[in-house]
Amino acid sequence: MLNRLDSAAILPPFFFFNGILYEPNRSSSASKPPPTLGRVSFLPVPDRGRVARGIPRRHPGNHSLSSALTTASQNRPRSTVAMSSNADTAQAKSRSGRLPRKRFYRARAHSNPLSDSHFPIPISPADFDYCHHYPYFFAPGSGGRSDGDAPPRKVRFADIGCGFGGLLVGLSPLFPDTLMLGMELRDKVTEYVKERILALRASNPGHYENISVVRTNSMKYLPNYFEKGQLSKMFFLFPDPHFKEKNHRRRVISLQLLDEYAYALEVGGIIYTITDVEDLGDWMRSCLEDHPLFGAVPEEELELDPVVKLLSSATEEGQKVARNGGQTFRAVYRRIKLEEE
Amino acid sequence: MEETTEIVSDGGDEAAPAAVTMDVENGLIEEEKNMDGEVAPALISIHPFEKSVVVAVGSELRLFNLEGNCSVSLIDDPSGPSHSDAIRSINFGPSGKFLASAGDDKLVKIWETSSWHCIRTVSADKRVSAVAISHSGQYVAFADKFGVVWLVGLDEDDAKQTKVDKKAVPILGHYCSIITRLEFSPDERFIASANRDFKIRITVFPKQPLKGAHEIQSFCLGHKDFVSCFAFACPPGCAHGFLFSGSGDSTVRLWDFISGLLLATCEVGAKVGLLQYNGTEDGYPPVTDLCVSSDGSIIAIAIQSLHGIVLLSCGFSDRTLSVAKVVTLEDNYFPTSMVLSFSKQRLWMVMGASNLPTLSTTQLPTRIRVMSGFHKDPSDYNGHDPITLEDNEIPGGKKLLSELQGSSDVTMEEAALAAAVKSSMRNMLIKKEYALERREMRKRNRNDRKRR
Repeated sequence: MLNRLDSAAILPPFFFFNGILYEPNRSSSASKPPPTLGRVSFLPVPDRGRVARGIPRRHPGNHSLSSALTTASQNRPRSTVAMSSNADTAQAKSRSGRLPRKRFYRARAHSNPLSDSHFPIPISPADFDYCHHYPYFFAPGSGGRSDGDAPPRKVRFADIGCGFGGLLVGLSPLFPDTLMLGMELRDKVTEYVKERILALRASNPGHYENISVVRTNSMKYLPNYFEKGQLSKMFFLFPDPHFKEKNHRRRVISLQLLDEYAYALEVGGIIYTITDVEDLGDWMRSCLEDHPLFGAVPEEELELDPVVKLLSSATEEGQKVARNGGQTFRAVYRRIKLEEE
Repeated sequence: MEETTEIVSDGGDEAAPAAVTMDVENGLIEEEKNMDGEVAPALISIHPFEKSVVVAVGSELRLFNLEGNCSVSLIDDPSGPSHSDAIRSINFGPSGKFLASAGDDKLVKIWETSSWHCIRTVSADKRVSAVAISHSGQYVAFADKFGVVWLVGLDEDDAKQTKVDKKAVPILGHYCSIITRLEFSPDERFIASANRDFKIRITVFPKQPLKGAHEIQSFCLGHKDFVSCFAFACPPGCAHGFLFSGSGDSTVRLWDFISGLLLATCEVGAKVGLLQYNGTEDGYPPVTDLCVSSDGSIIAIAIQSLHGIVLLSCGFSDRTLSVAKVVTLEDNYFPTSMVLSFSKQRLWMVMGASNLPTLSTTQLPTRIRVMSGFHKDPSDYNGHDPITLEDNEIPGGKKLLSELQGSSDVTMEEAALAAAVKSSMRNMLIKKEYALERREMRKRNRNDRKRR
């Protein structure tokens, strides 16, 4: 979810290699460069979009968002140096279990989902590297997939536009055996969530192993991450409202995108949406209402669902709305089978 | 045809003063125009029973009636506009009752193939990149540059009464990715769409499709670059059939499209040994077109910068896909589009392009070649090549060529044409990467900024 109310001030960016931050002391097997082109990894390998097109990378380890900010930083060279060393220490702290601080991860409030951004995307769901994301469940030695007869464990919950990861952190103890994946377009925010999860794992051994985050454009690449019917829950909490009519096609809920969400959800799976913008609330509800593959979940069922309470309370954006005494608009729908008339 | 050329020149005159007003950024704009004003490759399509053959180059549709051995003039819709910009897609559909043409002028025209009247002109919101006709001939689907697929109903009975309120309806969308091809599956249960984000989406084509096609059957994921072409094949004894796809990653892949499972991959570019320098790095050239006979026995591939075609052989049972034969033509012949006539087992190829910066003539030259003598068993090509027909052996002979090529002798232009055509497909389909300053310049000239 895009942090609409957050200040859009641009602080000097901090550049670092994702791999070093995320995988500080991994065994050598885990830190080997991934075998397949385009495999999801936090290592600073050249991303596949560029490889495919043969375009040399300008700033190793940076994504387009941070390179867009480079110009801003050039005006303030002194502070950049000071702040990046600051960021380094922040990284070191999170490894030892201290939570990362949001002020070091300030990013733009909005990101254009229509732009052709360049970051690694798994070629297909089979290419998604579970070992890297869920090392507790996929021990690096055991070949990555779960052992023996049981079918391999897959991600079941997806938080689309996870923002600073509040919902993932809230859900993790409720469903300790369910793998959850946050998807966020802004790379700095993703970076923050990565650090947050690592810090939580370090300070609570054995917990928060079931949540992870990827930097991706879920509106474009959702089928690259999830197979048909793989998910049981999808979350769209406080998405960017895109008020202008011209920009409505950037909204994360639309009749066309719901086709893809219906594809990724199993029959009976639930899609949760919430917003504090009435216009957007109406829009999301009417899209879901009009879509033949979704049906409303009755109110009494919602009251029993422990997840529903988290929608407005767990996320940073939700807390902000509550603090300001704002109203929220919720739409929860179930994936149903198509009835042929 | 005279009408359409007039419109082209009109458009050019209008565009010229607009370009002059931009003073400072002129250089950059100019550069951009040259890159964006990509050449539009010529297209060829053939009636399913080889009754007629059509070539599209620029905004022109050139037609030849093979049955009557005569040229055909199209009778345009008097109420609607004519094609005025590059045609990007033409399609006869499996029944051959209609021909659909569409392109950069945001028009979809549907022609009735017995009288060659334009029975419908549909105005799209965006440029149209692909068009397909359903097997029953009941629906025409087209895809625009936003990645939205629209559907038009063609019910003949009530066409007259409800012509007005029958607008195209959006039925599905690839999120902001240009759709490169659109095709119905042979049993019409599915509609397949490929985009330049390496995806092929197989969508269930519902019984009441005008309400939208929301159920996705599968995604065929495996290509690492844009998908330029795909075709269905249904070998005897197979329930659903298979899907072949060609891509900018220089591979052809075989799919079980019901499950989205990748069955086989053939790295055509590497196999043929076509390493080339593509601007920044060595790489294999993209597969630009692909023709498959309905039983899958003939698989012909066009690769950019190969002066000829590649024939593949596919073992459907053991899931293999390999290069059977490379058939080369004369040095300067690079087919931009090909089509296989199933009934006569001939492969029709065309080379040509519009928007050529180097050519000053108003004539848009194209060159047609026809190949025949394909073997039933593709592994048996040794010492038995398909034959490239001489100009006078082509059905319709010189008459056809002069009609479809624009002139009977285009050899003069061939070198220039070949040079332009060589990189056309890649330039058209790659995602463009702009330098930072260029991006800033583009932002400055954005429409919403200008209005302020």
